[in-house]
Amino acid sequence: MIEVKSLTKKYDGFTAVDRLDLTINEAEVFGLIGTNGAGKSTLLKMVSGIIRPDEGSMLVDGEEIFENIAQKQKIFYISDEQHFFANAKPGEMAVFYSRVYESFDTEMFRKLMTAFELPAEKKINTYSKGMKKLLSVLLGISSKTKYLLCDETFDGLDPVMRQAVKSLLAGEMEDRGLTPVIASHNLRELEDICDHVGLLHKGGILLSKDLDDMKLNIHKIQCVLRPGMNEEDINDLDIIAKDRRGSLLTLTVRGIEEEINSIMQQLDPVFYELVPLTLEEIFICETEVKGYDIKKLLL
Amino acid sequence: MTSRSSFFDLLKENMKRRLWSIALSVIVFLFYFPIATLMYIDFSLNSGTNYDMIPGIDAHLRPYLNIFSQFKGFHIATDGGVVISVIIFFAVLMGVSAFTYLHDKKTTDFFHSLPVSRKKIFLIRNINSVIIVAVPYLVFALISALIAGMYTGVLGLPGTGVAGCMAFAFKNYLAGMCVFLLIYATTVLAMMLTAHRAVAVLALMVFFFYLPAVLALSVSYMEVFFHNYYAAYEKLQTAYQCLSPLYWVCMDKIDPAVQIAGALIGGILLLTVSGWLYGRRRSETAGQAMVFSVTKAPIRIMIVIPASLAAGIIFYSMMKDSTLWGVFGMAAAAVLTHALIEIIYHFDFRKLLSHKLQLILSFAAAACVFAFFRFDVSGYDSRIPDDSKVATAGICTYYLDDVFQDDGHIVSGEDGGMHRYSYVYSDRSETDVLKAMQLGSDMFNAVRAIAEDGIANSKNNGAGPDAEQYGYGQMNIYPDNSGSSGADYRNIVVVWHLKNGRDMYRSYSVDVKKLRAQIDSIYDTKEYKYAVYPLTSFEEGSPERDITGVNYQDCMSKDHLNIAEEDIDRLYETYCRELLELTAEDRRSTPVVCDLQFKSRRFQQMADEYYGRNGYLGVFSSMAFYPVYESFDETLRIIDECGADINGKIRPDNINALVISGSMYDDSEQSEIYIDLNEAALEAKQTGVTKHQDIEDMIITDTDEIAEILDCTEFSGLDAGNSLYPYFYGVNVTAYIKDKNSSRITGDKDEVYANIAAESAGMSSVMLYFRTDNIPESIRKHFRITDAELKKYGTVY
Repeated sequence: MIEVKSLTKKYDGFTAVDRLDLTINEAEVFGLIGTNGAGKSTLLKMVSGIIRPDEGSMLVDGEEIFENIAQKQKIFYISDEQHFFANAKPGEMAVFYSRVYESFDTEMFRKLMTAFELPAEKKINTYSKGMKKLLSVLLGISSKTKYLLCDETFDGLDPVMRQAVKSLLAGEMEDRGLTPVIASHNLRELEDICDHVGLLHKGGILLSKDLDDMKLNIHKIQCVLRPGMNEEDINDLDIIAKDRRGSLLTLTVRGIEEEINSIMQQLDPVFYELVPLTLEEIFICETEVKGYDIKKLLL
Repeated sequence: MTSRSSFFDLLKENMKRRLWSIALSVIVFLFYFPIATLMYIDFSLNSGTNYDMIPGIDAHLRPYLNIFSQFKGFHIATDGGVVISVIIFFAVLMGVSAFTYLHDKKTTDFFHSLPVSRKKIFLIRNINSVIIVAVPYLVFALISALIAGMYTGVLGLPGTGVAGCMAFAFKNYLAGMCVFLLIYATTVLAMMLTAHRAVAVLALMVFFFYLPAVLALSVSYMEVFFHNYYAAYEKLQTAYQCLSPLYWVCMDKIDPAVQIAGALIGGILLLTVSGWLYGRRRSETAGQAMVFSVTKAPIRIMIVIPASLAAGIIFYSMMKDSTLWGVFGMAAAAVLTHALIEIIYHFDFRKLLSHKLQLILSFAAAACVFAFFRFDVSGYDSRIPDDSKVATAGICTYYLDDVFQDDGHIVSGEDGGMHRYSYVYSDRSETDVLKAMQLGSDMFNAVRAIAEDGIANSKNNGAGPDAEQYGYGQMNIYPDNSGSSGADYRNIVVVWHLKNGRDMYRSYSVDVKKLRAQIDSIYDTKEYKYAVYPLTSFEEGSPERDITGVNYQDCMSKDHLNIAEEDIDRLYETYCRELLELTAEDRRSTPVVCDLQFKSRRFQQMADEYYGRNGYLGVFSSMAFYPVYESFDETLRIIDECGADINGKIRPDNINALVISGSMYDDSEQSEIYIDLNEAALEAKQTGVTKHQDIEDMIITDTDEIAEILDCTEFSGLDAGNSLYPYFYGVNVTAYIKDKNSSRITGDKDEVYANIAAESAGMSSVMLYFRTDNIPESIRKHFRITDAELKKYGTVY
């Protein structure tokens, strides 16, 4: 588990991370959302021991991480612009990592390279941006560390690759309890992978919740009301947002599913169904509570 | 995987990343050592060049001696050896390449995210940096030594042969690695303090040149503002060497053993500091100018102030000592330097005037320093220590004597560390004389009088500020400020050896006529002579005192004195006694008739070897000669007993002709501004000899007349002369000596000239001079010598 308590980091008077409290549990995908300059990279760098915090504590499995080599063996950090040795081939990077990470699985790396059809004999500096990102993920996974920190790694991957990586991560999580922490400014990217999401804004956490917990309490209803009825007649639902297109009324409501079903059945609309909410929709609702317009935060 | 295995694995991995530097190191040392060795061996053996030789070495071995000299030249790692440049290059390259990753965010994040401690990263990179240079250097140096050794063994000299060459190469290899360590560590420190490559290079330049530049600036300020400033050159050179790691390894003012030990210790210290800084370095500073913001202000201030002062003095001097322009220069430089540094710190032009308060304070500090010197706040120029604080004193002036040498200032090729099997001639400096002079308290008043006159002159700021320092005799070159007043301004350096161990030096322009009594009293002391004439203070049993031969020089020749070994000591002691008894007043009336050179065993050996190598004696033929005055009766008697015919050839019956010519120039008008002069008059003024070009030379061939002239003239061209003797240099007397096989030249002037011209290649001549107060009337009339010219070209006591 990664525990962050009152973490603060300043750069020449500018506060990048401001008294941040956060907990990242094991074996769950933690999505770190925030705009550019929110403090995501800074936070990840502190977690990986690159940067020392000015105040507060950063504990990985109960120990401070900075210059703690034993603990750093558990963390693999993938930067938004990962460094590779000049003129190196993937195999050479793998050899290097195998020297550094005791648990690095060279055979696994080789298999993953084949599975993802990355050319092993070409120099990395000839790879595309997406291929480099993919390579860094494969190296990270092959290191078999407990925590995999990805800073805007998924941004450069095409949708097919993204899905493949997500499957890979899921498999690793199941097999050995890998804990990926993925930072992104794109909610849609983390849509179907994150278990827990934290929203960073101006160095602080706006919210940090399990996705399932958030989904438990927010639902989207698409319905067609009987003639003569309109949304104002629906009083028993805690409506957060509504949208009408012709007869089709879409309501975002807070509440548990059973209660909402019961109320809708009583209303007896022509048609209704509960549809899944996107992460964005969930966030909008949650942040509005805190007085923020998520669209402004995340555009 | 154990920690130890991972350490070596990481060493290997880092080495893989530095293959280019390994290749470069191998190539450079390969060419520098073994290939160059093969080249100079081939050239030495096959070029047909006539090489050096030394006694005892057969002529056919000369090329091998050259091989040996070349070999040493390529390997010597002290005293400015060529290999030092190579080492410095690699030290900087390795320092930059080892830690350049810290200057890039990407690479910094990469390496610092890894589960490898910073200490280990630092250690690994340093170890590899050393290995990359140390291994090729050692391997190829030894190969070179092996090759050279195989060829030089035939010489049979110390240090030749395989064992000798290998030992020499290895010894200098160790020294070279110490040089590498110091420069490398300095580079690493620059990399640790900065986070941008270009700024790192600037930081390195600051480490190399800042302190020497500040010292040079201080010296400049003292030279410009303190009239009585004296730069103890040797001390300054030593100071320069101590103020910069680069100068430390490149200069040769410090004992090589100390130099190398200092490099080693300094390198270790700097690396330790760098390691400590690395642990405290924030990764997020990568790409910025400076890592530690606490260093920004001090560095900026430390650069702005000297830059401001430098510009201040430049403007001050350029604009004829204008304080206003000096202040302008300081202000401009302060602003520009401050702005430039701010731009470098922030990489943003708009930040150029940040920290205005610091800028103002820096300028104010520079202005205070400027004022301190400009108005001599400390009283440097006028300070004379109280007698109670002075242990002894000393003076040095070319008015009295040149700086006399001793053979301790010749060092052999081995002793001096020079790579060639040759000798280095090291000047004995004024500072050496001043250090050696220990005038007692009985002379303090005389020295004080010199100082007080000098101080008064400097305050008057015009009474002889440019007095002759290096002149011979008493030529007054600046008649406009000394001729009219009758004063004779010369430079005298004074040293006060204080009781606290410090020495206080001052250089004064003093009127030697006014202070004649005081100066003479100092000259007449033994303490003065012991310092100026080191011959008189050789210790019994010292190498210098082990005299095995004597040379002499008169107006016509230099030769060995045919003296028996048992008489050498007698001659030496007699000469020293007469020299110590000599007074300044004696010197004014007594010419020098010949010089003596007392050669120690060591001196003779070095001279022989030098002669054997070059075929001529070089400096050995002119150094360490001492004057024998006409009044040294006992010395001259011993010389006579040895069969030396001092100045015997200057006899009237042995001289073909005397040619007396004027050498007075009418240059007093050359400084005038030529306005409204017609072309002819202008040209006449600019030739400089308008007054005397119509005066013909005098040709004297009559024996009696020659005798009369010879009675009034003296020879002044000996290596050790008499600067107090009143020679008159306005008229030259050239005596053409008759060849023993030829007859006298007769005829009129034109015939004599023609004969002399025709025969001059085979005819010896000697130049003589009149004594200022003994110029025959006929000469005075012929050359129309005025009283002013007597003062200008001679000395009137």
